[in-house]
Amino acid sequence: MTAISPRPAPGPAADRPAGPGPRSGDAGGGRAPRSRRPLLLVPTVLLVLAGFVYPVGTIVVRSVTQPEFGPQNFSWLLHDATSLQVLGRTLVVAALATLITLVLGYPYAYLMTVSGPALRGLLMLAVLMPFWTSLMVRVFAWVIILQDHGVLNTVLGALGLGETHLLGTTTGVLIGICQLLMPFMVLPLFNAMRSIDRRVVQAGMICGAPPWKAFWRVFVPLSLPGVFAGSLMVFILSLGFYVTPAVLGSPRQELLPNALYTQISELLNWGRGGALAVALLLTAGVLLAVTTWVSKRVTGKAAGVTGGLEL
Amino acid sequence: MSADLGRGGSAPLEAAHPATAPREAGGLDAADLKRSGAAIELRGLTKAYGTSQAVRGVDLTIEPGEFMTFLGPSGSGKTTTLNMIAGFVPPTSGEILVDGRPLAATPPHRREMGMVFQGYALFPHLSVWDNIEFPLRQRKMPKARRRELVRAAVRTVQLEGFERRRPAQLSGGQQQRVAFARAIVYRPPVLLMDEPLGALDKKLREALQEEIREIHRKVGTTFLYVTHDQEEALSLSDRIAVYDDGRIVQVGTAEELYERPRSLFVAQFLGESTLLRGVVHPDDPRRLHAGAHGIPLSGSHGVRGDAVVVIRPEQLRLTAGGPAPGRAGVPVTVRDETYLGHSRKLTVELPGGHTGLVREGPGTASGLRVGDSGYATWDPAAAAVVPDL
Repeated sequence: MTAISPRPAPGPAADRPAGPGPRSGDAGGGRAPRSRRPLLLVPTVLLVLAGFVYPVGTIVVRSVTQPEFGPQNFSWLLHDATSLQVLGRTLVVAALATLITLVLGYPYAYLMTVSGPALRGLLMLAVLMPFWTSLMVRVFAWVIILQDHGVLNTVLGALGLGETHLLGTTTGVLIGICQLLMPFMVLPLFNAMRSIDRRVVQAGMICGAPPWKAFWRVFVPLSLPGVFAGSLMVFILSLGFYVTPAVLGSPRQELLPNALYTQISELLNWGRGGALAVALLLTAGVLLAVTTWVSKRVTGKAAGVTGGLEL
Repeated sequence: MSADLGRGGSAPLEAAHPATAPREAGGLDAADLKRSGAAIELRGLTKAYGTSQAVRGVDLTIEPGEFMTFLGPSGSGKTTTLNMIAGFVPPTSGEILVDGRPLAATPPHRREMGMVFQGYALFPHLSVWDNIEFPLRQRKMPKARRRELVRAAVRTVQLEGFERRRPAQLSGGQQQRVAFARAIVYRPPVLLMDEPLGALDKKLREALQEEIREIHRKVGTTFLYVTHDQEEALSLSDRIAVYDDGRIVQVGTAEELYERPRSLFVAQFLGESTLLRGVVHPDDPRRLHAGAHGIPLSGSHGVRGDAVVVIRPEQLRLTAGGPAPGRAGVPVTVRDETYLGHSRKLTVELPGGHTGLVREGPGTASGLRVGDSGYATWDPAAAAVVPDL
C-alpha cells in the first residue's frame, strides 16, 4: 500500500549539515579526530612562508643592509623630493580611485539589489567582465580609447567640448585603474546591500521618514560594512598597480610601483627599492588597521579586507 | 454586527487615555485625545500581481479603537491588505478611508500609522533608545518632549535599563517590545501588526498577548493585527476577519465565529469540531438526512441541500442510552481517550466510520471507556449548520 518514497529515510536526516548551531560542531563521526586537524593547515602555512614571508622579509632586510647596515635608504626616501612626490601622487591616485569607484559603484550595486533576476545577471556580467579579459588587452584597449586621436577625443571633439590630452597623464591612469577595480567595489557593496532587510527601510518610512530620508538614515548606515570593505580593497590594490601606470601614464608622473621597479630592475639598488616597498607595505598596513578600527566603531563589526563578502 | 457606531464609540477609550498621557504640560492632552483611535474603512480593495489576485475585493469597516484581527492561512491576502493600508503596496482597485478620508494619495510616511513588522525590522545600527526615538525625530519634536515620550514608551513595554543596547544584544521577546514601543511612541491613531509574535515560543507569546491587550486598553488606538494563529486571534481581538483565498469569508467576535461559523472553512480554521455530513431538504429545514439517520436541526439556518452540522467538542455529551428529549444524538463507539488534567478528550467513531471529538469536564463525565458504545448527544441550538463544499 505504501508507495516508494522519493524522500530520503528519516534516519540520516539528523546527520545532514545544519547551519551554525549547537549541533554542528563536532558531530561528524567520519572526520579526522580534532587533534590531527591542525595538520590541514601545513600546506597553506608552508606556501605563505615560502611565497610571502621570505621574500617580504628579504626586501625589508635589504632596505636596512644595502649597501651597508643602517637607515640610509629611509633617510634618502624622506629627503628626496622626487620620491616623496611619487609617494604622495600614489596616495592621491589611490584615494581618488576609491572615491570614484565608490560614487559610481554605490548606485550600480543598489540597482543590482533592486532589479529582477534578468537585469541583475546582466549587471553582474558587466561588472565581472574585467576579470575575464587579459590585463594587457584591457590596458591597450584603454590606449586606443584615450590616445590623442582616439575614440574619446573624437567624440569630445564632435560634441564641441574640445580635445584633451589623456594618454600619458595621471587622469588617464586613474581612468584605467577605476575600470579595473570596479568589481572590487561593487561586489562587497552588493553583498552588504543584499543582506539588508527591505522591511527596515519600510519601517523607517512608516515611522515618518520620507523615502530619501529613510534611505539615508537607515539603508546607507547598514550598507557601510560594504563601503568600508570595498574602499579598503580598491585603495590597497590601487597602491600596487604597475602595468596600468606604465602603459597609460608617463615616466614624468610616476607612481610608486614603477619607481620601485626602476630602482631594483634598472638601477639594481635593492636598498632604495626596499625602502620604497616598505613604505608601500606600511601605508597599506596602517590603512588596514585604521579602517578596521573605524568600521568597528561605526558598524559594530569588523569589515576586514573581505568585509561583507562571503568568500 | 452594527458597523456604524461612529466616533461616539470611542468615548470610553478616550476617557481612559489620560492615564498614559504625561502629567505635566496641559496642552498635550488635547492633542493626545485627538490621536485616539481612527476609523478605517476598506471598500472593494483588490490587489492583483499579474494574473494572480492576492486580494479579491475586501469590504470592511473597523471602528475607532477597535482591536481587529485578520486571521487566515498564509497566502490568503491578510498581509497584503495590511501592506496596502500601510501604503507599501498600491491597491489595484478599491479604496482605504481613515476617518472618512481616502488614503490613496498619502505616502506611508504621512499616514501617521504605527507598525510592528514580522521579524520586527528594528534599525540594527541604532540603540534601543534611538530606535524608539526615530519616529519622534522625524516629527521634529523638541528634545525634552522626545525624551519624555521615549521614557513613557520604554516604561510601557518594561525595557528600563536596556536603552543603550543594540537590537542584536536583546532576546527575541525584548526585540518585540522595542518594535512595539517604536510603533506606539508617537501615539498613532492606527497600529498595524504583522504576525508580531510569530517568532517567539509559546510561553512568551502568551505573556506578550496579555501585554498587547493591556496596552490596547490603555492607549485607545485602533489595532489591526495579522495572524494565522487562531488561538491568538480568539484571545486578543474585539472582532476577527477570517481570510480565505483573498477574500474575507466572515467577520465577527470570537464567540460568533466559534459558535456560529457560516462556512466549513471558518468552522475548521477556528478550533476543533465534529462534522456530520448530510442533506437538508428544501421543505424540511429542521432535519439533516445522513444515511439512515435523521438528525434534528435548530431550523434557524438558511442552508439547503448538501450541509454539514458542526458541533464543538464541549457541546457533545456521551451517554449510555439514547438522547434525552429535545437533544440530538448519534450512536458512537469510543476509540481513544486523552487525559488533559482539566478535561478528558475522547475520540469517537461515528456511523459511517467518521471520527468525532468529545471534551468532558468534571461535571459531564460519562464513565464511558475506550471500546464502549453509547450515544453522543447535543443541543441542536448549539450546533452550527453550514453548506458542504
